[in-house]
Amino acid sequence: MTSETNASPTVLRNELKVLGALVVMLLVVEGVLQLGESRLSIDIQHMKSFGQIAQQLQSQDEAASLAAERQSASTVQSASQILFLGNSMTRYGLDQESFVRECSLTTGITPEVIALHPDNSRISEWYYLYRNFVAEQNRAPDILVVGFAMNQLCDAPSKTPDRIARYYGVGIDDLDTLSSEDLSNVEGWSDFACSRYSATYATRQRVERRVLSALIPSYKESSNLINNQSAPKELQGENVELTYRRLQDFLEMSSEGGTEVVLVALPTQDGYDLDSGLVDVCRGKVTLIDARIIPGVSPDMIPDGLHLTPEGAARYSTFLADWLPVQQLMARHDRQLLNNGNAVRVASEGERAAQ
Amino acid sequence: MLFNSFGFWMFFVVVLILYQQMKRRGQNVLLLVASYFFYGCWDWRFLGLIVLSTLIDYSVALGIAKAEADSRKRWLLLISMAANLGILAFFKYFGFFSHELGELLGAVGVPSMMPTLNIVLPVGISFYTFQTMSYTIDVYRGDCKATDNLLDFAVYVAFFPQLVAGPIERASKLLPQMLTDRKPTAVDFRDGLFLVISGMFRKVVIADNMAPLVNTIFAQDINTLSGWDVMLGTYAFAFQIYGDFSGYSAIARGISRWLGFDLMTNFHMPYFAVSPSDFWRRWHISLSQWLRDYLYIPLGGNRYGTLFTYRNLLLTMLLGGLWHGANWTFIVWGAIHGLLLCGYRLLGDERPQKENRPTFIQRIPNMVLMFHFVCFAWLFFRAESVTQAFGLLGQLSVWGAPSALAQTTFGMLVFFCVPLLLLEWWFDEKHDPLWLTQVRWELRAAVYGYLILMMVFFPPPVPAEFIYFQF
Repeated sequence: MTSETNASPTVLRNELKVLGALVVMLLVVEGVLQLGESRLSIDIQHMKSFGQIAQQLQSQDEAASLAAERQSASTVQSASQILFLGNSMTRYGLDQESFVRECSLTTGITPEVIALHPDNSRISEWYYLYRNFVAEQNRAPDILVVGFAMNQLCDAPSKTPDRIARYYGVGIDDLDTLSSEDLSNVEGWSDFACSRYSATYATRQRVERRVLSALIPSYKESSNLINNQSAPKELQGENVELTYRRLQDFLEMSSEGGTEVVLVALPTQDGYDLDSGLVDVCRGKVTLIDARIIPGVSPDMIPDGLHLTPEGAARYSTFLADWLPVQQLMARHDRQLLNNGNAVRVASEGERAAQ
Repeated sequence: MLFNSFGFWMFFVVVLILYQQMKRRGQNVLLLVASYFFYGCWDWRFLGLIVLSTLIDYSVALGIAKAEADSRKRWLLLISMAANLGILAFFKYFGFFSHELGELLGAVGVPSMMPTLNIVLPVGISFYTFQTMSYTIDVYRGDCKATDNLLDFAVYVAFFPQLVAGPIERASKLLPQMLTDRKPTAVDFRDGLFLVISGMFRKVVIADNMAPLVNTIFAQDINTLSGWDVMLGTYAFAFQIYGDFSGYSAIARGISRWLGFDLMTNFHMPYFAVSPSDFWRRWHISLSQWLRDYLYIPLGGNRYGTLFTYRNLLLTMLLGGLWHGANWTFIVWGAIHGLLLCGYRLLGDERPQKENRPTFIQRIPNMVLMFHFVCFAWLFFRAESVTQAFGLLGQLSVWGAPSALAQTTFGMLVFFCVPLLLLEWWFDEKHDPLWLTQVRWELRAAVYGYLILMMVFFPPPVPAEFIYFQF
């Protein structure tokens, strides 16, 4: 120890070199991931293009003028836009071609379909996604279809705050919601901050899954078992009273632009109960379509229990097009938009009169 | 505040910066405040217990040092023992014994009048209680001088790096460090860095990635499990608990080195042990030495013949098991280790001379055998109940195609634990657990790079608390 203590400057120099090498290594990894982040998965690619996809949505002004056009032409056939929001169940479940074709056949409307479906997301993520890429950008689809299963609409903190930080466009406006709903302690905020500024940190679980899926036998199957085992009780729906505060905020936000919201309970292999609390929240506010059981969709079309095969997706999409009351929804949507517009106009005239 | 949390490292950076600006007395005040804050973050309600334990042992030790009559010294020691063990017994064992007594009385038809209390177990109570007790006993034996500085003693009891999960430091080693000036050197920085990085790797990568597999296997219906599941689940637990506890100890030692303190080594590659006595020289060394010095030797050790030696070994290990928690599973775990120690002793287990030490390859058969004995005991340690443990053992007779979970567990053990074992094998060959600090900086940077990238890219699904906090 004495000789080592005497050699302190060399020891310190060497340790600084070690630290320097580690910093360089981390910077290189960060650089590589910054550049190649999108190549890690289709899902990251999708999340990185949220902004681009959302730009396809009509603006609120456009929606209003189109509504006026439709009203004057007494038809709903022109340019109706449907946004599908969900997770990988929607990604696998929605066959856009089948949906549009069937919709066209049954209602005479050929909708423009846009879809946002980040993996492993639920209402806690959809809230930020819609708020930052749709509502705050003054965009408004005519119809919003939210696909969910089990308890994906109930209140629970986000399981992926790292992804919210990096891909969901959150800003200062979201801090209140983040602190009250998703990030309750220093750890959560630290994770959030690291993910926001570091691609390495934000994508590490994605890298982990890719590597382990490639190297570890039966990893995917075991992960499902482990996740089910360790899922919080509210997500398992075990003797916990579920609440829907965030869903209500979401519905309020999405209906502000005149958008008609439809919730669709998606099919799963094992089936699930619809919580009565959810039905109460929907009553009188939104359309709820029960697609848990679809004629012609057999359990073998949901091989992993959650995601539909292409054949199952075609049947689900056709079923949805048949049951989605597009004409009524569009009519109600247009009425609401035009009424809002009138309200604004009357107020302006009133102001002028007062002057 | 977990060592593997952002919160802890923010706290530690603040403490370290302030610490560097101060002289010894100021540093000790800072350490005491920081330690109480650290403990208060777990549960401030139990800070009073640490203060109480500190005051009792401080006063009793001073009383012993001043007393001239042996009988007075003995009485004072008894007061300290009664107070410390009383606190421990109440918080840790009252519920268990009252429940068991109630069951026993119920079985013979006598209604139990035992009160049932829902007592919260204060974090780390077993560690700091044993640490303060060792101080008073050492003062009584004359192995250590009683300190009249309450501040220094309070820091010795509550020193935050090792407060909640050890190592259980002896006063003769740690207290003098509280009393002298400390100036961390470059060597302390280098060794601390190694200990912190390797400790974090063991906790975050090894232990926390094994935890979900173990939890899932041990939560399954026993009849759905095969021998593969049980065997691999137990191996995974062996690495989980090793990574968890040795990781904590290494981080505790590392951050202490950065503060200028030298804590004892608590783990020394335990799964390379070739016999039970070798295992206990490598596993939770601070506890096994405590049990040896304050229980086994006072009971008579090996001085009164073979039978007494076996009795003493068994008693020591049973109480060692009970120290871990109030549950029959821990008692059975202790009994198994006691029996193993007796069995190996019967077969002539002796510590090999350094010059006759077999090579690593020669030791492999004994290491594998010992590892399986240890795993057998871990099965009881991890099980929720003795019944579950026997049920799992029964499944070891059911072998078929390995389930998906068993295959994954095997793959994860190879992916995460084999590199750790290779690294440890390298250190073992060099007879130096800090060997990496002696190699060229480029090689050290490469190994650290691997450990850090593993921490970054293989985070556990759910960060877990350290297992030993509950003991």
